Order: sequence, then C-alpha cells, then structure tokens
Amino acid sequence: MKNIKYGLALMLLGGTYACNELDIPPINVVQDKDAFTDAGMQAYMAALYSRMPIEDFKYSAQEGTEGFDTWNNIATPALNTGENANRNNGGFVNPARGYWKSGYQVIRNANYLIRELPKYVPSLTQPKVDKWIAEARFVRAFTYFALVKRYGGVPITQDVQSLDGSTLESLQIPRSSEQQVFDFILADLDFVIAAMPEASEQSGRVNKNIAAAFKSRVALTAGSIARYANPFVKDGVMLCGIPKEKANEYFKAAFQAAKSVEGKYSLYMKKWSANDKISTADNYADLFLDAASPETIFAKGYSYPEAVHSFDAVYAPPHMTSTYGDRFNPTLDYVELFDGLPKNAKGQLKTTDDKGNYIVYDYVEQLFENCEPRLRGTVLLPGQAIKGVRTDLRRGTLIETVDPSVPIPKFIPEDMTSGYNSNAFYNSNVKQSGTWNNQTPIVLSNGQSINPTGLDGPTSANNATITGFHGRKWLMPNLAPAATALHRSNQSWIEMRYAEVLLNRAEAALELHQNGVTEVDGVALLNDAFENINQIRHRAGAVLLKTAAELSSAPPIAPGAGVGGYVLAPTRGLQLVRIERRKELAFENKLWWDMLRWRTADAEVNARIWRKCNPFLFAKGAVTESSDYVRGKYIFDCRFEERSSRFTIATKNYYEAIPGAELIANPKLVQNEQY
Amino acid sequence: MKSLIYILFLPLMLYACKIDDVDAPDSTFEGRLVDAGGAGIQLEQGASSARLKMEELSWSNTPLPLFLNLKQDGSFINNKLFPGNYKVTPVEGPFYPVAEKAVDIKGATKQDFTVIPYLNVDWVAEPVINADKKLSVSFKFTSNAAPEGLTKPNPLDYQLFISTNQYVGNNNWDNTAVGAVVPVTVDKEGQNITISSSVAMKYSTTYYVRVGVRVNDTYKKYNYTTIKTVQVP
Repeated sequence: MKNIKYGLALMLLGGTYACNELDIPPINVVQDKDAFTDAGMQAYMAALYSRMPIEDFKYSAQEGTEGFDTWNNIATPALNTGENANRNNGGFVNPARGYWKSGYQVIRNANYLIRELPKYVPSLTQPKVDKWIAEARFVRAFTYFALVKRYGGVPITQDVQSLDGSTLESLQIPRSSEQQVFDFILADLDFVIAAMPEASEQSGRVNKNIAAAFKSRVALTAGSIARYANPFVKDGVMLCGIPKEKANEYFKAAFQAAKSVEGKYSLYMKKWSANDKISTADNYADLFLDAASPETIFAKGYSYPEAVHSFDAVYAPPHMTSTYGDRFNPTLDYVELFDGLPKNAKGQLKTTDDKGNYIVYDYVEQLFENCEPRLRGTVLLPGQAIKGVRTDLRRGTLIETVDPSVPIPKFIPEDMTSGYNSNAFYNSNVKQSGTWNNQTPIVLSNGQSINPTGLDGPTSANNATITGFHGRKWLMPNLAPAATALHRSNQSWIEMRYAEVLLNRAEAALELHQNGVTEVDGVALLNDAFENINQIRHRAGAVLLKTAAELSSAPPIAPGAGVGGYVLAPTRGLQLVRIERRKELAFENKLWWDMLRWRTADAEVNARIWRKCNPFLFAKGAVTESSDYVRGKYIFDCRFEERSSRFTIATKNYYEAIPGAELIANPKLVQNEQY
Repeated sequence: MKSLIYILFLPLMLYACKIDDVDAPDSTFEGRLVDAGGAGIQLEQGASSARLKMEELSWSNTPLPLFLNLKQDGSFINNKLFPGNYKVTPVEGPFYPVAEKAVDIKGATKQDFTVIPYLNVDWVAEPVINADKKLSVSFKFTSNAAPEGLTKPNPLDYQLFISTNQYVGNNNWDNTAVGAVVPVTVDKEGQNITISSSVAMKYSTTYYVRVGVRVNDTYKKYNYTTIKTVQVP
C-alpha cells in the first residue's frame, strides 16, 4: 500500500519537471518528405478521392457521416422526387445531414497539397507537380460544388488555416455570394482542363475530359439558379441566388464544356438492337455494370471483400435476397413517363376499357410487352427474369368462381384513396396475403395450389413493394439470391456518364435558344438540342422527336392533361428535356438536385401521393409453372399508393440550414432563410 | 485502500468551478395571433403551420432563434423563458408576412400579434352524414386584400380533414378517409363548395371535422374553418 502511495507521489512529482524541447520529427507519423514521392502520392490521392462527396451507393438521407459512407442507403432523396418509394418512409425525407465539416476537411487537404507540392519540384519534377496540383484543384472544386448546392454561398478559403500565431477572428471567414462560389469552382475546373492530359494517371482519377464533363454540370446548375431562384441578400451579399442576367453566360459555359467532350465518350450500344426490344433493354441495364463501358466518364470503384457496399441486399426484390430487399419500388408516376404503354387522356396507364371495366390480359407480362426498352432496363416489370428467377408480382387472386370473361368494374374510382375493403365484390372474391413469405395458398379444384400474392408483393399490408414494381438499374444480375447479402456488392458507382453530358448540353442549348441566343461557336442550338435528345431516345429505344419544332416555347402540358404533365417547366420544349432527364437519370441521385435547381420541387411535390399498379390473377385457368411464376389471366388496377402517404417538399428545402455548431463557431456566418 | 481513493480524487478537487447562479427561467410569454377583427387565427396544433420565431437580443446580436409552437386557436404560451429583450416574429403561417416586434419579457408578459390571413374559410352548413354514411360538408372561402407592397397569392387547393380527436388538421387526420387535395381557382371564391369523404364513416364514433384551403405562397399552409364535431349514431 505504502509503495503505491510513494509511487503515485513520485509520478505526480515527475509531472512537474520540465524537459528539453523535443525537436525530432516523430517517426510514427509519415512526414511530407516521405509522402511527396511517386508512391506516396498514390496513397495520398487514394485517401483524398475516397473522401470526395460522391453521392453513391453509400449515400443516405438518414445515416452516415454527414450523409456519406454508410451501408444503410434505404432513405435517399430519390424518395421525394417520384423516382422511388419504400415502405419505411411515408413522408418527405429531409436529406440535409449537415455536410459541412467533412467538406472543409477535404478542402483543407487539397489546399495543403496545392501549397506544399511546389516545394518538391526538384525530386518530383515540374510536370508531375503541375498535374497533381490540378488534381487537388478538381477535388476542391467537386467539394465546393457539394457545398454550394446545399447552402448557396459558403466561405471560400484557399489557405491552410492554422491557429499558430493568428487570432481566432482572423480564421472566421464570412460567406461569399453564391455566384462567387460558382465562379471559384469554374475557375478551378478551367485550370484543371488546361493543365491535365486526356488520360487519367490511374482508373478513377481525373483528367481533362472528366473535368470538362463536370464543368457542364456545375455551369448548368449555376445557370438554372440564376434563372429560377429567388435571391436572398444579406448585408449587400447575395448569399443565395445569382443575378438573372448572368443565366445565359453560365448556360453558354455549360454548353461549351459539354460540347468539348464530344467524340471522347459515346453512348453504350454493345447489345443494342433495332428490332429486339429485350436486347436493347439489356443493353441499357448493362451500361451500369460493364467496366469497359465507353459511356462511363467518372466512376467510383468498389472491390469485394475489402471495399464493398450493400446495394443489392437492400434494393433487390424480396425473394431475390437473403436479407432486407424490397426498398427499390419505382412509382407508377415514373413508369407512366415511358413510351409503348396504353395511356388514357390524363397520360396515365390505361388498364380499363371505356366503360370502366378492367381489360383482361392473357398473362402477366402482356401489359408491358411493347414498352420502351429503357423502362425494362430500369424497372423490373411483372414476370421479368433476373438473377436466375423471375419477378413475381400480384396484389391478390380472384377466386375460381370469378369468370375472366365477365366484365369487372374498377374496384375503387380514380383519384380515391379508399382501401379495397370498401368494395363488396372485392371482399368476397379476392384472396390476398399480408406477407409474401408466409402465405396460405389457395387450393384450386384441380388440386393445384397458388399463392394469393406474389413472392415480390405487393401485399395487403404494404410490404414487399408499395408501388407494384421493383427496380433493375444497378442490380447485379448474376448474384444469386442466396449470396445477396449486406456488404457483398462491388459494382462501381458511375458518378458521371456521357448521357448526362448530352442532356446537360441539350438543356443548356434550349435554355439559351429560348432566351435570345440561337447560336454558340457556329452551332445552331435548337437543332443541337434536338439531335442530342434523339441520340438519347434512339439508344433507349424510345419514340424519337420528329422535328426540332417539338422543342417549342409553347406552354407545357398541364398536370393531368397528358403524359409527363406533372413534370413542371416554363415551356413545352424544356418540359420534354426535363422528362427525358428523369427517364434517363433516375436512381442515380441526380434528380433531387435537378428539381431543386429548377425550383419546381415545391409545386410538383405538394401533398403528393405516389401511384401504384396492382396486378390481380384469375384463379380460374391458372397454372403454376414455377415457384415464382403462375401463368394465368390478369387484370391491373392503377390507384394511389395504398398507405395514402403524402409527400410535400417545402420551399425552405431549396437550401439546407447551416449547422448550428458552425454558426456558433463562426459568428460571421449568416443562416439561410426560413431557418 | 481508502487513502488510495483519496489520492485518486485529489486532482478532481484541485479543479475550481464557478457556481452557476443564474436564475432559472421563470418568465411567461403568452398571447394570440389574431385577425383584424380580433378573432384568433385557425391553425394546426404544434409547429406545422405557423410558429413564433424568438431571438433573444440580451446577449448577442445574432442569436440562434428559438421557435415557439402555437395552438389551434392561434394562442401560445411559454412559462419557462429567461427574462430579456426578444425580437418576436410570427413566421411560416397562412398569413401575409408581418414585421417583427421587440418585446421585453419579464414576469408575465402578454402580447398579441395582428396578422392578415390569406383566406377566411367559413362553414356554410353543418356537416352531415349522407344516406351512404359518407360525411359531407359545405364551406366557402373569401380572400383578404394584400397589404401595401405585397401581392395577393392565388388559391391553390382545399382538403377535408377528419380525425377522431380534437387536434384535427393537416398534421393529424385520417388520410385514407378522403381523396387527394382538390385544386381550386380564384373564381370559386365566395361560392359554396361541397366536399365529401371517400369512405363510409364508422358507426358510434365522434369525428372532428375541418376544411382547409391554401394559397400558392412560399409556405403553402392551410387556412382552416373552425372545428365541428359529427356524431355517427
């Protein structure tokens, strides 16, 4: 006991002695002189790239480090845009996760490289230093873009701030205007485009063309903000919004940047076929998985088992995964945008005849047989084969005494939210199940048994799918259902692909054409937009635009007055461009930002209930062909999603709130409006 | 052993603290949002329609704001506030934007705010249960002129809200009992409008019913009728 006491006393005394200054660099921390070598820079860049705010398979509206880097990607902004729906989220999902601190850490690292690398020219050589500085500036530009699209103007720093010898106040930087931030990003990108070669040093790293493609995205966003956003000015600084007269300037920059990568990339056409719609659909699905795709511009790679994500486990249909599943439910609103489907005057899927009775289909795939191939490449339709099995979709089964030849009136009138249980015919003639994996089969008179509900839903308890569809885009088609587990997926995330660049180019061209600029660098803009939209449609297997005049300045189709009427736009031409963008870029974490920059989100998603398509099987004459396919006659009921969940995007969501901790740490920051 | 514990606690005792002798927050701030006639504004219970934004200026010129929720009749109360000088603004509600008020809150402070609601929504008749057991109501709405410098927004849509408790509103209702929001245009102003539930009402239940109409402004919040109860036998 005594010994311990003395020991402790000695230790306390020890603390009071002063030491000589320790001026040897610690040998357990990598020093600049060791990192700034050829091999060291590879490692440094790998770390820097991995922290770039790429909204990929690991991006979430509810989890992760300020929204990034989590396996749990169930909630994403795509739930607010009408692309996706799932059973977990029954209302607006706010994706604001306070992405700020991690962003400025990346910016600091990039600034450090930009400041320190020139000191190592003798050992590294000038060309390498120039290239790596350009790379650091790309990472910085990418990160500032993630900040500016969330907050508007943010503080700009090109220093590596340090507490040594400076007062706290000198480190507190006020917000720049939104325009200054965009101009700063564009200046960085122009530097990168001028300094970088055409080929990347390693796959996944930036080059001249990647920077140009990204510039088209940034400038298009700046142009849209200038044209559509309401400015927020505080103390003479336009923190949010850009002066309207700048819009054309940015659209022009977007157009030129997009045009500059023409010929460097091409749309993926390996399996495309003029007369085989299935092959064209497979071609579209493959473009997201083929590592040698000429369409991919900038991708983030994954590798099993050391760097993985969980997309397939969470997003596969329920009977095609060992866990989770069923969170990938494209809405009927989205499906109705596509060509090759029967539609009514409102532009909605038509599954009833003129008397309001259901049209009877001979088998479940029949309704979608002639659909636009891109739909089949994006969405899993009833009966579609994937992963060695088939999607099994039906809401319920009409009992054997119901004859398919006797007309059945629509169960619930259009635009009603009431449940099927308010229909007496339904209650006595339809068998359904509340779960997909524990059903009580119906036994037919011939002894055959049939599941009342499909193995992939939709169930009566709003499980398995809540829209009647599952998604296909990004899913690995050869990962067997039993092997589909968390932390098992390794497909690359394609952050930028050539289709987006073409759409950026068409949108910028049309925005210019409809606002007084008909030609840029000798290119007639209207015709250029027309040709680029048709390039996208041609690859998709969609109906082509007949003439450039279709991209008109006439008023757009109003909501409920035709196909895509709910996609809001100032003119019919821009409405067509925006519809094309949605069809092409859905489920790629792009459309949320599009609806924000167009400033249409609050009007379009306002007490909105997503739509659903419920297939029903006739037990009479049905034959079970495999565990997940029943051949028989079907009817389809289109209705509001059965939870009647309403989604509203408020105007405050056009910008996120600056995190409270940052406001306290830096009193010079001004909070955004409505917070 | 005991002495060892004393030694371990020694460093703790060496640290000095300042006693927190600030008085507990005990001031009360209450009042109502009223229209020009002095009637309370019909709102939702809580933070979902309008809120009071309160900035305490006693210690900082740029404080983080506090938000105070409102009751359905437009009244509010908070009896755990620090006394001080506050800047108070009713925000995000279904009324024309109003200027802030500086309020010295100390002890029991009362302050009403007069706002101009976009719309007045009134019952035309008592809600009825039809022969098919569906609930049917008639109402009309009129708009208020915009104050100088502001423009009058257009009416957007209306909705019937039904709940089995008194806190009925867009934040508390049975969304399967009625259809989607009904779009409305300015020419419907002053006319009698009828809206019904889409399903039959359940027997032996008391329903709380309210109609909301909103305009296409920044916040798109509802102006409501008063709440009526309907007894289904």
